[in-house]
Amino acid sequence: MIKKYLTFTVKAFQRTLTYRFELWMELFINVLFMLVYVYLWKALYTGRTSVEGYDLSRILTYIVVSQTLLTFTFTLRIARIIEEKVRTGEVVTDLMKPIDFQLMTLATAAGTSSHTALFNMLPKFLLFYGAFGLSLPSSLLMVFLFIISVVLGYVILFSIEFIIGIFAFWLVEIRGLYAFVIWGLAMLFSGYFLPLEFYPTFLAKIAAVLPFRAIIYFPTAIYTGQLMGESLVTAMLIQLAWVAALVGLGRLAYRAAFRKLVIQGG
Amino acid sequence: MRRYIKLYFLLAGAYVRSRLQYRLSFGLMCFGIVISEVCLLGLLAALLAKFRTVNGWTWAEVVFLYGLGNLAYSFMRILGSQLDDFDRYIIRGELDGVLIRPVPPLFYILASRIELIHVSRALTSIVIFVVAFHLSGIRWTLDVGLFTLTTILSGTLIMFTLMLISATVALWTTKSGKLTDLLISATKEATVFPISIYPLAVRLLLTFVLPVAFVTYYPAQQLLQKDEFLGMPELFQFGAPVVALVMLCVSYSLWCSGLRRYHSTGS
Repeated sequence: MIKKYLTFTVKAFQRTLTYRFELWMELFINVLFMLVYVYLWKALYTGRTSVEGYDLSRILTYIVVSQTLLTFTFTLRIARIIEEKVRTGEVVTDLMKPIDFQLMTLATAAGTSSHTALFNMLPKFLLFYGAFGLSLPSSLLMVFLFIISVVLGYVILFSIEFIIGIFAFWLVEIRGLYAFVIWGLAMLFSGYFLPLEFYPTFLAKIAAVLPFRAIIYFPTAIYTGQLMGESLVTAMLIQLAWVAALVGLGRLAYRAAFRKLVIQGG
Repeated sequence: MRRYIKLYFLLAGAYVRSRLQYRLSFGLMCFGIVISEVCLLGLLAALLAKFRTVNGWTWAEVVFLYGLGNLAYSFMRILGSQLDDFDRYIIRGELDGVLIRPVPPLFYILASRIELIHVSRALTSIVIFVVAFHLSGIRWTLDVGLFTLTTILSGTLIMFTLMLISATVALWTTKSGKLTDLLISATKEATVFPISIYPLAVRLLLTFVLPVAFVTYYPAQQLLQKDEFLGMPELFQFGAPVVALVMLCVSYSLWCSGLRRYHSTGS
């Protein structure tokens, strides 16, 4: 049962290995991006020791970890893949397979993303870790919780993209919706650019009711030790709740979409 | 010349009509762009409310840089969007079709898409820029107006040539993927903040290799009456048009030599 889906993961992983040059360029440009932010914060912190509970080392750690996690957003492309499948009609062959469409998509995404994690995120992170004297999580347990939180955040990001992709059954063209949700809402409320503690109150309030902070802010804050004890448990419960809600919503959406497909026939 | 202008509107018009078929998506996308611009501005505001200045640059001055860079970026996006997935032409063999048409290939490629959704970004940027212009205490005179226009025009050209160069890469490697898109977003991001926050190596990179410092930073020295050249000649504040011309020559000859060695992918 699981083996079936793992095949998709392995295939997707292998597919991404084909484009070496692209990979190197991507890494180079990502590093450039991160340098912009690291030096921005260094400049901001000249003559200061601590702002909102973040000293320089902690803020740099936050920025590098959140920027590294942001890479998933750039490389996932699940919404675009589903849109393409709907437009070309390839989705029909997926439906004929005796497998779950949502799980299959997740398995494929996991293949691409583990490649990203291994060959892009990890080297990038280690480079910055070495160059700017960042800190590690306070204990092995925190490392473990951090990784779980990253995975939960990843599933949330995946589910949001999946739902956007399914909208292609109705909208045909989803670039607009994608740009609005991912480049608009997610960018503002995920906390990738600055920690949520720095947000003005009204923005922080909006962020608290949306799923986006569970993608980047929660794992990053667990890494930096900003979330500990009770608040950490709450954060992870919120993540779990969003996973359940969004995966469920995705199922409902694609069932409705497939029913619609049958009505159209051929 | 007139034939080309007519042809441009004919081709671009066809694309615009096809895009408008999906009105809801078109509207959402415009809305998405405006929202993301406003969001980034909101984050910048949140940041500078806490810290007051970045290396001696006030919030208004940073927004000024942001508006200036974004204006150039959005004009470039309206006119040159076709280049950001140029490798498509090669992978699908469409470039062969372009090469046998009786117009210069680059002209045809650019004319076959004019991206009106980025007009929403341009409009947002204009508002942001004008407000920042006033907040920074610059007075409108004819000189300032002409200088600003030249700067925006040169900036658009500089960003366009970077896009062209990275698209040209695909003529050698077949696939350039998201390279163009990433490169442009990274360089655009780098123009938002004064380059004085970066170490020397990055400053040299942004001045001589990917010369986006000429899109915002150096011209802003003149407009904002700053004197922060970081060891570079003061003449750099007027350098944008020259850099744009040089980049245009370099990128176009690269493009031409790429086309000369281009072999179809077959299939």
